[in-house]
Amino acid sequence: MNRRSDRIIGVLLLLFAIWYGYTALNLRTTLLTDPIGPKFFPLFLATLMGLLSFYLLFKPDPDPEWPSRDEWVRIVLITLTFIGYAYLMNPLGFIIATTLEMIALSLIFRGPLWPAVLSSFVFTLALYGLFEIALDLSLPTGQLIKMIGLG
Amino acid sequence: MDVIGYLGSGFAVALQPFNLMMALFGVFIGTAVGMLPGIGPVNGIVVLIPLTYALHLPPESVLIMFAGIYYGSQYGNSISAILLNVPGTSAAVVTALEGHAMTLKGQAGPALAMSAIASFFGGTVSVIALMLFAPLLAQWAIRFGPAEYFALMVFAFSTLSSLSGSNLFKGLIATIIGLMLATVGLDPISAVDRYTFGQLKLLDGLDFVVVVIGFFAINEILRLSQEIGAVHKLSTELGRVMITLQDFVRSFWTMVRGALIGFFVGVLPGAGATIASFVSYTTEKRLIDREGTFGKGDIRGVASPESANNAAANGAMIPLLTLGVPGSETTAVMLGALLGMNIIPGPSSFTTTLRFSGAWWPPCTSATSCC
Repeated sequence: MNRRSDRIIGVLLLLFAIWYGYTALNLRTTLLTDPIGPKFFPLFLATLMGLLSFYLLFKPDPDPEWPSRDEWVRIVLITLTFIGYAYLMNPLGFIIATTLEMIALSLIFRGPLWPAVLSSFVFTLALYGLFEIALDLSLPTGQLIKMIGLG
Repeated sequence: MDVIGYLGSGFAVALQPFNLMMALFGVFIGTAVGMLPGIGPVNGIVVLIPLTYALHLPPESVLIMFAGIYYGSQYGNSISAILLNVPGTSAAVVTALEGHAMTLKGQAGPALAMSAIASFFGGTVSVIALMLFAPLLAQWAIRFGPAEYFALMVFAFSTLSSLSGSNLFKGLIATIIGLMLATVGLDPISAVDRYTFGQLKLLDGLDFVVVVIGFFAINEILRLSQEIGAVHKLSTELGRVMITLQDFVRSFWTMVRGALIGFFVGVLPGAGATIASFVSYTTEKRLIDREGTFGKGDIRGVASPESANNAAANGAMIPLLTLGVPGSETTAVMLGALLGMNIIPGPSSFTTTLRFSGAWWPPCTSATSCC
């Protein structure tokens, strides 16, 4: 596995650079353009990125730090919980969504269940109080709580 | 002299009880935040930005508070670095190397005291250097044209890549990814929308704070998830939280060199506290480590990076206040906060900039002494 990790990133970056440059070529131009135009800078970046990705392909790090299987599982799980958190924020509201996210993270970090539940809830309430009451910044209440009629 | 006039009015602003309180508050928050591994000054300031809007604080007070957080967290970092070998940010890595070795020898007290003294020393020396050089830089900066800006940006990006450490090419790739993210939104000149995928929300570009949190905070969580089960041995042996006069004399020139290196590295955009602490430590190691005690708990090995990283914290303020170019992640976030208050630091707002610089120099001294 070891020599490959940089090559994988190299291939991904190269594909990204090609897509990025191709998108830049298709940018519509208006009548009022400056001499350089909106395409120049993205194309410049895409070229640089493409060249650098070749470096990763041909001279990969001989001894990269590759996470173990367990660590991979955790990284994927954490990323998934964050995506879920973002999507649940509006329907469930800040309090429920944040409590759930914190419980999930605590469990992924191998914390004990009940202390995790309790501390997540208390911390979320404290944050909510800080923002809603002390700072007067509104956080999403959530459709669920509004539906029950508490909001 | 204009400079003395500005400095005088700066002191007048800084010595208002409210602003002194903000400095103390900032240092307190900064130290607390800095002690927590993985939460650095960037996060502390990011969290407090909404607070500053909500309370309608005057910009001077906000800047004073941010400076306090910045210095406080530099010191707070070294506490967890020395006691637990967990550097809160990369700037404290070298301190952890040497300071934790002292803790294992039962000398945590002297290491903590040395770290505080060296931080104060580096901070004070660089504040004085700032007063001497910032006005000069500001005078020079007012004549900045497009060509000079272009040169400055090329310079900034070339030093940026030195942040990447071992692999220059990966640093460059990271820089380009950042620039690519910045192209999202309307092109500033021709107003053509780029990479918006038809989403109206993306026309304004990506929000700076969102990007910072995504790159720093979430990254930190993922990194921490790999360290589960790594037990950090906690030594209870503290020792006296004092250093002897002999230690101070021995470390004096180390601190002076650390402060100077830190200041000049800090001024360079993109370099900052981490590079400063590494450069200073390796310089000291080459210069004075005759008995091979560095890395095994030499008090000078704590003095050197601590003096340097605090001096760099000040140095990083020069490009921010005079050129509008942030010299570190933290000053980049500060820039964001100031922009949000319609203050654009840089050559164009030269006089307001001077007013601010005047306003925060004096509290820096008080802020560092609180540490």
